[in-house]
Amino acid sequence: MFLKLVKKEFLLVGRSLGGLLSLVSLSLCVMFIFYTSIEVNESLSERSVRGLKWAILFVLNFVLVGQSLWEEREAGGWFASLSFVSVSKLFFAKSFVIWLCTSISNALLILVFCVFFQNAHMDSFLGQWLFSNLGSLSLVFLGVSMGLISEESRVKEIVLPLLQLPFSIPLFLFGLEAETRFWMESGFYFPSVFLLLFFAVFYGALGGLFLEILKKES
Amino acid sequence: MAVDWLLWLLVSISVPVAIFMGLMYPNVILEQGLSHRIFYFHVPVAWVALYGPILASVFSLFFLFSKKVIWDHLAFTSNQLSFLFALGVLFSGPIWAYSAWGVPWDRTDARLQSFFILCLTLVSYFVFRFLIQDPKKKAILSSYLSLLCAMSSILTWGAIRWIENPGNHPGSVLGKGGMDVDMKLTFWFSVLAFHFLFLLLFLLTYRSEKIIAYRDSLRVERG
Repeated sequence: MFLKLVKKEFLLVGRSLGGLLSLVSLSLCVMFIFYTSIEVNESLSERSVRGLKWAILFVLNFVLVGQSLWEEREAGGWFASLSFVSVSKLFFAKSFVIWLCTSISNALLILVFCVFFQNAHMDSFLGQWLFSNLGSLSLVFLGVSMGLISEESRVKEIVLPLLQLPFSIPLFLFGLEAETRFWMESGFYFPSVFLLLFFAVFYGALGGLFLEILKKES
Repeated sequence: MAVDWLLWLLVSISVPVAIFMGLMYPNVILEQGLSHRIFYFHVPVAWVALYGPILASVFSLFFLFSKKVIWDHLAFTSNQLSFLFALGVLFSGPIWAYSAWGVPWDRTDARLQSFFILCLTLVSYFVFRFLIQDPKKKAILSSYLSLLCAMSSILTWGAIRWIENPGNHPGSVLGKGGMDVDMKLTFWFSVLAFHFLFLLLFLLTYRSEKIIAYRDSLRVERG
């Protein structure tokens, strides 16, 4: 059943304006804006490049979550699926697929960063990808749960930016700080990884739990 | 009623005395001059603003377990007051910062940014709550957002502790080996006074919330 849900979510992502392709082109566009406006004149510091990567990550998640939920609402798929599967399974399937798409996009983005920015290095690729994916996971859990609860409001997905942005920014700040600390410390700095894992578990568990409570009570 | 009178009395005495003490009693810090006196207002107010959402999250948990609407009203009241006190912090902070650092808002400072974001999260909570019509759903989803506001509050508290802060904001007032006796006395008295003020406002806001809820239920009954 979970695989069927995952397949449905992939189809939804594919329907939303080219899905993954639009995601990659969006991230490259943002990257090129910063490259042409700053990097060609003076090289961005390592911290700034990292911040830029997190900012793009933030936008990507925001866009993909919005697209996927909008497509599903238009097709009426969410309510149809709820008749035969639990809401938390739907939540985790949607989050998993969006996270998978963003993780592919993250890998490409980090590679392109290494080509265009002097202070982005290929030897730290795996570490950077790890943090991007951990950050994405938390942002996706938060974004999907916010998107689904925004359906309960009078203005539907219009309220999503108002919900998603303020609640995601602390995650963005602390995620960026955790990654900076990871590269400053010698060896594999576990606390940074654990912090982002904690965020992912917290937002994932809370989102799933509240959707179940909401369904049970309504 | 006795509690009301007691709280009114405590607030009407302690808050003016705390403000007067802050302005007159402690010695001036030479590096900052007179501007440091706003510290006796800014920090106690910030404390209340930070633990308001945490209190709201506890009430929200009670609501989720008991499903009694009283807990939702208490959580809402707590967040409302937290927002009010947070506005106090956002107004008093730049006054102090302008005198002490030369700029009203240090854009590199993690504490300032995270506090502003906390205010935004509370605004989101209020707007979203307003946009949901079904009372039961409103209470459940408000509980969810309350828990997230509490997370934001904890992260704001940790911003000067866990983030390598390039900004100017000082660290914890409790963690530096202490203040002089005159400062300590004035500070703790101000903390107490603003907590009394919080309790009084909490009582009044909660009652007004109950009246509004009762009015709404009458409207529904009348169709």
